[in-house]
Amino acid sequence: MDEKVVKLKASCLSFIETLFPEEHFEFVEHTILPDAFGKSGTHLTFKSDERELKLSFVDQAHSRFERVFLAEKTPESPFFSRMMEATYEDGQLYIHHVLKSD
Amino acid sequence: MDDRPLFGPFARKGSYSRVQVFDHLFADDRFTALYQEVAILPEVDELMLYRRYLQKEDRVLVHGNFSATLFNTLCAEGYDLYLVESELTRIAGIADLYLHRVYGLSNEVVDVMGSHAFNKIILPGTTIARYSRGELLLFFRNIRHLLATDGQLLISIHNADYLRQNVQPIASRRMEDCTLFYGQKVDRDRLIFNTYLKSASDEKVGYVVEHLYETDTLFEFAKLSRYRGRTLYAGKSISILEFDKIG
Repeated sequence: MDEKVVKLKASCLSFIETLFPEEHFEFVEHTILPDAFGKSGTHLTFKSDERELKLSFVDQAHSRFERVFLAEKTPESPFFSRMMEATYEDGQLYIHHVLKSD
Repeated sequence: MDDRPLFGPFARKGSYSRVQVFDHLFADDRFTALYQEVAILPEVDELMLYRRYLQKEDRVLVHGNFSATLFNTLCAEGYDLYLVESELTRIAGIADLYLHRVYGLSNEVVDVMGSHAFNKIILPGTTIARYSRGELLLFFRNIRHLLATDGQLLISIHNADYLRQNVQPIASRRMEDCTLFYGQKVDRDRLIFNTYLKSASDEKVGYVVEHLYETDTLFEFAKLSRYRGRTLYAGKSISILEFDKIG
C-alpha cells in the first residue's frame, strides 16, 4: 500500500469514526476503477458490525481538492445508499453537503 | 513550444512563460462557464428536444455538458433525470432539491441503483466527440450495464463538412472581471477549441480537443457492441443519433 493510500485510509477512518463514534470500523479494500464514461475513481471500503461504508474519491481538474462521495450499506439492503458529499484537501475531509434521499 | 494543440494567437500567448497553459479547461471557472455556453447545440432548442424525446416514466441518465438550468427545469417538470458529472464546478446552479440526483461516477450509480437501471442515456451537446476511437469502443461497451435491456442512447455529433467551412477562428466574451477570447479550428478529423484570458491577477490559455465522426462510423462502432443506430435529426451543423441496445 503506497503512502498516499495509507494517508487516505487514516483520513477516512478519522472521518467516519467522528460520524459513528460508537462503532469500530475495519478497513476492507482499496480499488481504483474507471467508470463507464472513462473517469477513474479511488474507492475505499470500511466495515463495522452495523454497516459497510464506501468512500469514492474523484480528482478535479483544478487539483485543489478531490470530491468524495460517502455511501453506506446495511445488512438489510442489497444496495448502497448515499449519505453525503465531501471534499478532500490537505489530508482532511470536509463535508460539502448532506444528501436527503436517493 | 510543445505539441499542445494551440493555434494562431493562442499558440503565441501559450509560448510566453508568464501565461499558464491549461490542459484541463475545467480547472478554471471562467473557462468552464465559457465552454458550457459555447458547446450548446447551435441549431436545436435542447429543452424542447428533451421534452419531446423523453417520457416521464423513463429513468434517464445524463452525462456531459448539461446546463444546470435545463436539469432543474426538467426535474421540476417531473422527468426522472440523473446526472453523472465528476467536476464540482460544472454542477454549480443545480438546485439543492435535485442534488441527490447528481453522481460523480457511474460506479456510484450502480452501487445505489443496481445494473441496467436506465431506460435512456443522453450525452448532451457533443460530449461524445471528446472520445477518441479507442475510448468510443470502450464507451459503447461499458454503458451496456447501465442501460435496461431495451435501453436507448441519444447523442449528437458535429457535421464535419459544415464545421470546416464555418468555424469561428476568434471571438470574445466578457465574463466577470475580464475578456475571454476563444476560437475553433478544424485540424484533419479534430475540432480544436482554444481560449485565452487575462485578468488583473492571471493570464491563461486552455484548450479542448473534440473528434469529428461521420454518422456511419458511429453506427459501425456501436454495432460492434450490439447497438442498432438511426439518425433522428440531420441538421446543418449537427446530427442527433439514437441507438437501441440489442439483447
